[in-house]
Amino acid sequence: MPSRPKFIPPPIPTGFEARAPLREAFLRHFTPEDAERFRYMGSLIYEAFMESAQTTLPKDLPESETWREMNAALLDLRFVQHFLAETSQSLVQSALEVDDTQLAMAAADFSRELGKIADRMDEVLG
Amino acid sequence: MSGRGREKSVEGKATPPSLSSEIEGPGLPYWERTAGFRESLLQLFPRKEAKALRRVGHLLFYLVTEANMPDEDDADDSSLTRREVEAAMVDLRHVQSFLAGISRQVEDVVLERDETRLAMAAGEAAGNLAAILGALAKVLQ
Repeated sequence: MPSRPKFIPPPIPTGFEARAPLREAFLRHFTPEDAERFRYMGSLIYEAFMESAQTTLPKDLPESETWREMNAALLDLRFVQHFLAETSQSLVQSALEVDDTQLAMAAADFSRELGKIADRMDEVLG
Repeated sequence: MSGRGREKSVEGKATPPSLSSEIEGPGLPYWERTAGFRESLLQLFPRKEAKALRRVGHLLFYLVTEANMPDEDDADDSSLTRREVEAAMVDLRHVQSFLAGISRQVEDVVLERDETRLAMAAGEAAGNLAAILGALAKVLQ
């Protein structure tokens, strides 16, 4: 009987801010300095919240933590998928420069690709 | 990220919250309703509180887009389209890293069979997203 290959988790890039609760799609509306302040504030709130997690977080949630995290990742992925789809709407709603037309078309393609990955995750979550 | 036991329903399967109702609800598009806080944060809260925070995030997003704040020091002459795609890439990188983190549970935590399957699927999705991120970065060059 052939042995199953060992599962190797993908690497997590350095600089990944696990404690970044605010979306970049939101922060981009601010100046770089203000966006950085928001990121910092978000990290502080997240950290303070996690420090007190033992007393504040509910313990009796119906789903497993893995399921909740995967579901959250799916929702975040759907967000990016739909955000890119919205960006590609500028192809029909605006007169774009050549460079931006290419970017908007790429946004449409990437949105479709993300949709396929999200559908697959949706299936796994059941 | 540690495995927490899942409560079983009578059929032996956990009852998931309705994902489609989150995404396909009436009114504004899903991305706009959830443009403030990441779900990777909100999943830590009970559903009622998460819903309230989602609304707060939307309110902040609405306020900042309506305010259309001018940035007099902005030396960046990137187009709106480019900035949007760049922001999407950063958000996507977060999702990819978060998924990669979930998949680490296979090695770091003793998981039940269902959770192992989910964590491995998270790893697969993270790998697929890494390829898309690479392609997206090339488009933005």
